[in-house]
Amino acid sequence: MNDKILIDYMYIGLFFLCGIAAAGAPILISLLVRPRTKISQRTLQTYECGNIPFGQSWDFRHGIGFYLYALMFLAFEVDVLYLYPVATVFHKVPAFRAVGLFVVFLGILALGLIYAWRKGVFLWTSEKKIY
Amino acid sequence: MDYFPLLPEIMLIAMSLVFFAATLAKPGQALLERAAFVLALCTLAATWATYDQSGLFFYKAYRIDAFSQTFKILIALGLVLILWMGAGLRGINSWFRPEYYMFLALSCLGLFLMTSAVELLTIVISIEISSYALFVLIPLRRQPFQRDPLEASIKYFFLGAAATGITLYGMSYLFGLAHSTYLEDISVVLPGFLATQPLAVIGIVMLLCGLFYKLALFPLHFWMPDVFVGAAHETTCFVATLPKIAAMALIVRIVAMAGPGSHQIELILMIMAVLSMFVGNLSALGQQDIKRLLAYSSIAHAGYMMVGIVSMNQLGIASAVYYIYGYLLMNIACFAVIYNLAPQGENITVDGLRGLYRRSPLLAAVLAAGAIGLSGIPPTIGFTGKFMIFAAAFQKSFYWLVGLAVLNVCISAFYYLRLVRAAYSSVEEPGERISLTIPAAVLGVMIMAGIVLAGVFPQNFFRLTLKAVMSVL
Repeated sequence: MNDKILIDYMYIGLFFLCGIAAAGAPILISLLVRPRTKISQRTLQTYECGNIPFGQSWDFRHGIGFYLYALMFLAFEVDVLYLYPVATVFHKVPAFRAVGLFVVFLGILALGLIYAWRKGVFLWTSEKKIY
Repeated sequence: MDYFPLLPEIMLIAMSLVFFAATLAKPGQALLERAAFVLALCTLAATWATYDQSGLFFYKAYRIDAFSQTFKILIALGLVLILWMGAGLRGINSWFRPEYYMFLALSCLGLFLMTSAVELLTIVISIEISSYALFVLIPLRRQPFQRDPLEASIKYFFLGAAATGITLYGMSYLFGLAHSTYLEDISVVLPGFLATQPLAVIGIVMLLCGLFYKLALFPLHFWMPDVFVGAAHETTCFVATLPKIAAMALIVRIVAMAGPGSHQIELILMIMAVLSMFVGNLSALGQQDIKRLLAYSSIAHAGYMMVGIVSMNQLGIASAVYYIYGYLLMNIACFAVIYNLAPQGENITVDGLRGLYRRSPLLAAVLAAGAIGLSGIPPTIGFTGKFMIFAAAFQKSFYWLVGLAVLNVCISAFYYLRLVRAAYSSVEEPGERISLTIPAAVLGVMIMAGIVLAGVFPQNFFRLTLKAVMSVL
């Protein structure tokens, strides 16, 4: 009995390490491959985009194109919601079948992403050729 | 588990995936069109091959039987004919043609699911799948007509959202009474509740609202004229016919579940049928735009079909199914004429039909067949269908209902024959001749033959619909 609990905790520890690795790897990789920049006053601004900020936020109209990003984000946000019930019944079906269904579900969602990508939703407005 | 009975649905999923790939690759129009037609034909063949299958799928939420398969054959046939009629997609923005085919397939898939759904949540999801695809299809009209389609789509969307809300609310009542979302379980306890609990009647009627919206029956018909005027001709022909077929399948299932003995539901459906006929026919009288006229006529036809369903006997429902088949043919006849008359995809007025018999004798004849059929003059399928529906209502001694329906048929003859008169009136300068492509001409002749032959020899088709209806009643 005790052994089983111990093994379970080892699993948790393993997943904990995997989680840290998954979160840390992008930071580490980008640290290694990014070009070096000089850190100046301007770099440390709250919102740093290369230009000196001017005016107030309510002086501007934001591009309506942003709602497409918002939609894409929402699609994947909601899919996390649907993944939770999958996780709760995961142990009741054979693993291969569960993963297969999982991949089908995510694959269909990914089709929407591929479509948006191909239609240039992720390009800047001036570069958009097709819509 | 044997998945063969689900072949039609799998075909449509494959079709939508193929066209999804096409949206990324942008192939030429000719290839797209051929692919769409072949895949739609395969779907029709699949529905035909699975005609005598039966079974329950997906935790008993999905039922395949003769009833659902008959409706699937009708829907697939409609899809093939609409693709054939709209060859070239002249009214559709050329950027979005692959998407157009993809959403047509998805909408059809939703309609297929509707005919087989026997569980409340499955019903809602299937209605939504078919509706959402249509919300996207409607604005895809070509450039100079971009405002109206957007308006139409938004109206369709908001009324659809409201109708779904009402439906879900009605379902919550039914679930509260029966403690189950399966129609099979509800049908066991529902007749008892209908006799004692007014809540059950309200629940059923609210549940039906989402389907009345698809059928464009009276209180939920407001979207129809705007959508007809706004959408491209090909889309309009789809919206006018196929969702109605699927909605009727579900209405019949739900009404059969409620039991043919409930007088309150009978009365409510009758009142809706009568109001729908009057609103549709009287509004159609003054219309100039042909598509708006057909929209109001479509509302009136929802009323006629409801007369058949209200009879709640085998003859009535079988003739309603027969009539919706005729309605499909007659509408495609009218839209084929509109589509070929408008090379730029613009809307046509009744005056625009003048001298049609000199510009294109075949189109004038097709329009005459469609309009005469819709008005219910023998020897067309419209006459035979109306006759059988009214006979069924007469059997149940709904005399006043039949009287009002016949009165409506008389009113409607006025505006349908106005179309025929315009097409055959002589003018000084009829305009240039319309050259039809060979497939369009073949389709015109076939539809005309179908309208007349199915009207003169209804027995074979009627036997099919009767067999279908016997599996639910």
